[in-house]
Order: sequence, then C-alpha cells, then structure tokens
Amino acid sequence: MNRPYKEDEEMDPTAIFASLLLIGRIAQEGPQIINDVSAAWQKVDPTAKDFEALITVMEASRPKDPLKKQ
Amino acid sequence: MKRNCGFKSMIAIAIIGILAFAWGCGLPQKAPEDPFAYSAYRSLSTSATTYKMINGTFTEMRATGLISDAGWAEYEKIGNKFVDEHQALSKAMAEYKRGEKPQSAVELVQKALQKALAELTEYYQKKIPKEQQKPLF
Repeated sequence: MNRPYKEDEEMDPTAIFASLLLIGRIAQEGPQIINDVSAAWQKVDPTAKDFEALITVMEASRPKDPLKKQ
Repeated sequence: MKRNCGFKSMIAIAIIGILAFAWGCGLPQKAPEDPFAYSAYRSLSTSATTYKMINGTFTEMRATGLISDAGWAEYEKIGNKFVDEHQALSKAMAEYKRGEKPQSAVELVQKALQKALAELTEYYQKKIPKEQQKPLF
C-alpha cells in the first residue's frame, strides 16, 4: 500500500549536511564557549585580582608558531 | 513550496533553545556594584574568547602548512598587538579597581582594544576561507 506523499518528509541533502555540520560545530565548541562566556558574565563584581588574572591568561595565549621548534 | 520546512523548523527550534540557554546562563545573579567594571570584565572575557578562536584557527592552518612564513609573521604581529592591548586594558582596570586610575583614562585604553579587535577580526575574515571560518562573538 502506498503512503500518501508528504512534502515535509523529503529533505534537501545540502540542508541536511549543513545542519549536521552546524550541530557538530556547536556540540564540539559550544559548551566551552558558553562556559567561558557565562563564567565571565556571572562574575558580577570583578576585583583587581580578577583583572590581573586575565593578563596571565592572555600571556599564555600569545601566537606560537607550531612549525618552530621550542 | 520548500520541501524541508519541517526539518528546518526543528533545527531552528534547537538553535533558539541553545541560544536561550546560553543567554540564561549569562544572566548575573545580582546587580553589579560597579557596572563599569562588570561591563569591562565581560567585554575583556568575550574578546579573549574571540581571540582564542581566531588564534586556534591560524595555528591549526599553520601546522597543516596552509600559512606561509610571511603569512604567519603578519598574523603574529596582529595577534600580539591584540594581546598587548588586552593586557593594557586588564592592567588599567586593575588600577581603576584599586583607585589608582580614573574611569576616563581607562576608556581611552578601551578604545585602543576595540581598534585592535576590529583589526584582528577583519584580518581573520580576509585571510581564512569562508568555509573554515567560525562564528565570532
């Protein structure tokens, strides 16, 4: 017996691929980004030490050439 | 009529849900005592996250040989400039919190960081192929 045709059941392969890619990216990177940003946003009264801690964090994050031997 | 509107709606609802969750997580639990410091801390943290994403992309591409020595030197200069400005604002804010610097002096440093961030994101959008670009804050 043939089922009645429903337009919504047909999916565009490009849209599926793009959506899966987006979901994959959010799953891979989203939680860390959300954690970092929400942790910062919840710090309502940052102290001088909190600002100084950012200096240390950024110093460790300077561009480092991965092809240059340490 | 589009054929995959049901599927698209599900994706849209999922994305809206994730964004709403992120927004909810970001809400402060109480009103800040010093809104200027709160706002500066938020923008410093958000711009640091943006920088880390950009730096990660450039480092990954350099490691796979997609960025030449000259290209890396150019990026390194822009990246280091951003880090310098970020650290300058963090230092200025620490001094402001200790009462050693007025808000007006910090605002000048803030503008320099905004300029460095704009330069960094512009460079990223120009140099990284669109399909490899990640959404920026």
